[in-house]
Amino acid sequence: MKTILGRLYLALLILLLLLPPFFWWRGGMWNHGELPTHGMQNATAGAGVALLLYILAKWLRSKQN
Amino acid sequence: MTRFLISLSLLGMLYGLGNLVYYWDPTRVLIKKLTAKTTYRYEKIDPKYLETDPKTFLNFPDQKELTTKRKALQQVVYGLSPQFDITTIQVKKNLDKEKPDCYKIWLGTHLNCKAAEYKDWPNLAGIDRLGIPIVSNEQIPFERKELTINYTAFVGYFRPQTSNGRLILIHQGYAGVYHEQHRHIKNLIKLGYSVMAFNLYGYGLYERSQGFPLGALPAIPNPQRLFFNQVKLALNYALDQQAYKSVDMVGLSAGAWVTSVFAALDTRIRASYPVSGVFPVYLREPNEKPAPQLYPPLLKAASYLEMFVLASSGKGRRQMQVFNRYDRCCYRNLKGKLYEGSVKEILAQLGQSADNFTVLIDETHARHKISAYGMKAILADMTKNNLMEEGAVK
Repeated sequence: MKTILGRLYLALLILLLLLPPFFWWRGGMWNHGELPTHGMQNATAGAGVALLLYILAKWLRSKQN
Repeated sequence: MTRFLISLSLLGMLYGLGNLVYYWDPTRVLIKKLTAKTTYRYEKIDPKYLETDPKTFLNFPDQKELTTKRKALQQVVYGLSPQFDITTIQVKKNLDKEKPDCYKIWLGTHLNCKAAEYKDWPNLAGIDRLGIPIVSNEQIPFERKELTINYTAFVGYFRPQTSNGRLILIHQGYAGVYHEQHRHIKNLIKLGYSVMAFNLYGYGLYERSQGFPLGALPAIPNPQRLFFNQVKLALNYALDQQAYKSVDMVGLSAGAWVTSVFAALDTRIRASYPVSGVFPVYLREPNEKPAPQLYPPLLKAASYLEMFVLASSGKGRRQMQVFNRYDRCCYRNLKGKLYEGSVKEILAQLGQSADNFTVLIDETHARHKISAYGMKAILADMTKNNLMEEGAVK
């Protein structure tokens, strides 16, 4: 159960990391003083940091075991 | 330790997810709808706006009135003896082939810097910069002194390699420069359109007399020319270079105001597309009343509703107004629909097609922008007009 949850969480993080650039590329989140960049950067940064921390936690746990 | 890291990771994920939900257009619309302080913001029309009959602002006893009102507007904007000498325009050709010259200006970068970034656009032949003197060596009293003042606006002229013989003017509004529309401009060039891009007076790249504040410049005689002369002169220049089959104009925010008024002034504009930036005065909210748009002589010459009629009158001419229903800034809701029928009715009475004027409500986002949906509708309208049209405008 834990592994399934972990994998789902990992998939969610990767999806979250990819979605903002996809929307930006498609042209839906930009323009007129509201460049997508701040929204996109925030979303991507949050997902990126979350992914790194999760990988770090998994690595530490595997070392402890 | 690992639990702590996973908790932090969860927080990071929530932060990312929150930002995605807040900034992605479909979810942003939902958030704006749910957080609106009143249903009159986006959903329903405030009954106070229904008390006014738009027809009270539409005074066209006969067809001659179209010419009379247009002339009156031209006098207010350009003055009694306007001079439009295109030889005064300083042209710098093919800026995209030069080494970028970058320095900071208010609200972003300028063409000297951006042109090199655009040079690989599909179907782009070149980008020229037009320096258009709007005020040249005029003496005006300022702080107990007589000052000699100058103001030159810079316009971007994007030329395609394979041209469809049609020109589009794009006008940016407040709080931005036209480079924010670079994706739309790129697409238009790809389709074969030539594009002229304008910033609002005081925005982007311009030159002015030293020691003369921008805010004081409207004290000159016929101050409305600060907004409209650059468009007029640039258009004269473009038509002198090439006999375009049609000239259409798109504007965002205050650029939509310039688009509406300029299309009323100048019959060379075939179709005009003001996006999120012009309402008749009675429908405006407090933040939709910038002083230049309420200039009394302008409104005395013609009401905004009358300008919409002027812009939609004449062979092949039309205006499609686009409003963002959930616009976080202004000109939101369905208010544009309140006067659409009256303008159509007057057009029909004047022997014009009622279809020359339409209002489109864009519900795809909650921003102040020309959306992909809005631009698609504008392009579809232009293509329809192109197919219907015969002959050149020159």
